[in-house]
Amino acid sequence: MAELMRAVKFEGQQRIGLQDLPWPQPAAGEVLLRVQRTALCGSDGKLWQRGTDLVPGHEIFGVVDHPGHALHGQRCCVFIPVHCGHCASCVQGDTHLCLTQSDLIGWNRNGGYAEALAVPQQCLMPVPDDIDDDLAPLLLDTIGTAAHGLRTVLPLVPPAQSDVLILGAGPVGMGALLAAQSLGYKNIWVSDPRATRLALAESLGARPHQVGDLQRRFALVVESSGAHAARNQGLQVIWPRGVLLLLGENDNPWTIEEGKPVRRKLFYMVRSFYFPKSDLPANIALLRSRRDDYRKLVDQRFGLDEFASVFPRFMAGELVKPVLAPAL
Amino acid sequence: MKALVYTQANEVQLLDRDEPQALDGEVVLRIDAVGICGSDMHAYHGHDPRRNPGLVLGHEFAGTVVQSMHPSWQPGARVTGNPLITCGACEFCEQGRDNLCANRTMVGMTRPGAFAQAMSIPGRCLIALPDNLGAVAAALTEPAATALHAVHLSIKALVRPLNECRVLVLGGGAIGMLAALLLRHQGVDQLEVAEVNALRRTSIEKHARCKSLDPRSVSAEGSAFDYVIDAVGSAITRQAALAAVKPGGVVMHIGLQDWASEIDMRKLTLAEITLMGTYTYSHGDLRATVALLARGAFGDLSWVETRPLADGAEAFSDLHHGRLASAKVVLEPAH
Repeated sequence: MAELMRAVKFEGQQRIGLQDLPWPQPAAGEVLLRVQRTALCGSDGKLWQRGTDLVPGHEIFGVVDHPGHALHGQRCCVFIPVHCGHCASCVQGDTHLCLTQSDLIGWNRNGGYAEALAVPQQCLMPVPDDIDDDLAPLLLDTIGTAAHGLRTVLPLVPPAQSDVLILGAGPVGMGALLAAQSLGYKNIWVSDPRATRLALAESLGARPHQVGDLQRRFALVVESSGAHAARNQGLQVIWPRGVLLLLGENDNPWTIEEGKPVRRKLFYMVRSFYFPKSDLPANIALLRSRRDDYRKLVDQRFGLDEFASVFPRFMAGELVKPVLAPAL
Repeated sequence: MKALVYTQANEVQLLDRDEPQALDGEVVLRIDAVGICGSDMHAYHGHDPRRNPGLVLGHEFAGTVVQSMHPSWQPGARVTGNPLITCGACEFCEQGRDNLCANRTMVGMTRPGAFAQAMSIPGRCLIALPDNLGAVAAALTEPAATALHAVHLSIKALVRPLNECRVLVLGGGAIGMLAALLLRHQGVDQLEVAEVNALRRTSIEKHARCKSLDPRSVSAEGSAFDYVIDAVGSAITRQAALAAVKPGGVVMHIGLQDWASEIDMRKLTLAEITLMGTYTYSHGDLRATVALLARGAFGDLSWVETRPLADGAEAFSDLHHGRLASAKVVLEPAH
């Protein structure tokens, strides 16, 4: 075993380097995971700007390298919320909403833009062998986050009669499109200022919707960009008793202007974060049912040496869901 | 130690048994209080194929840890706990619906229960008791959680908020009584309880402050209740529940008296009735119930009758013959 491993370093102000770090030493209850693929995520843009001493990367797939452990050799995705398993949230199955632990792997402890990391064993999610390495990270943010939000609000907006608008055709928006189709929604519009993204959404069965268009109204609006303009558009175009599902994130304060379209309406505004571990089998089924379509989202596989050149292109919107393969 | 052993149909005897020893991950509890459940009565009557002679029954317990092989529990801790021993790994456990665990076992069924001076149980089943919750009240956690779980499931199917519903509870045993108390606590003021035992009717009227009726002499009003809880589960109460529920209403079935029976499926269809079953409680429900009991949400529980464990055989006989006003007898091994 090498003494050191290579990892990405976000130095701040969009500077990216590589660093040699001590090989991870799993603590009690943790295992060593050798990273096979970590998908890039737009939320890492924050760390790219401000820099971090931790290893970023939170859509992680790898192989357990921990002789003697029951999952040694097992291909696993990493469920990033560290959770206690005992609190009121955990015992009702909400392992992503733990009340006593809030660390996220790749945010508050070292993540997956590296050759390996230590993972608390309760955060391992075994991946069946028929799911290939490039697609496995999609089980996390792309499928997991989008599908869980949709499953949560589905009883409020029955698929057979509900028109859907997805604002933002990034990976989560694309994930929402494919999951919504699988959940039975038929009429789905997608809005995105980037023509290539919109074309990809159309190739997956979406109808294009012009950015900022307030004419058509929808029972379900999935906001996956985090942009305030898109959130405000959602407030305007939601039908009475409809759902505005907030999946996008934004660090800046969002002011809601309480005009007639907001005040004179009953509607639901639902924030959903990540997903519970128990969603995994259903997410695997989603991936299997549309495998070739999900594959369209993974548009590049690259090694650590290319990270500094690929990440800015991803942030510029040139790539949808590139995956880092540290061994390349 | 002394244990109340189910020896044959309609017989339990106080016998000497070996003291339990905690295996890895387990604790031994000194039992401070343990309730007699309707399912214990089924076993006593020889009607439960899962509970066979030679078994120590009892799963509604409160106790004190006296030996621990579990890192979270130290001797002296006052506890109640989940009598269901669940795997923690199946899909139901992962979703927090651990009452449906595919691999569950149970104290007082697949291993010796709490009608004894001591019992072993996995430490992860335990729930710590607040200081202000006494052992007798804590022994009601299990049946009270059954009522809580049933009501919480029902709320999702009710068209109106619970407190706006007219509610009928069939059966004034422990589950019916605790359900009535919980419904009153949650603001239900249109509540009726049907119970054949006159002593229990009086007790329910006093403690749940609601109307009661004797279903042998008067039927509940037909198609008039938004929500009906069948806390008996016999062929006749199922039919009564379907008859009483209003179109669009909910029937919650809790009891385990009769297995299969005919119900009015035509009314169920035409009147769009939601018929739900419920089984026990999740671990989260048990914790929530401990907190509710400690807050007095189920009232002062003065209707609960206590007896020494040594008088357990007589308690079973009295329950069998319907001689008790109380819907719950709690045995105290230390008395």
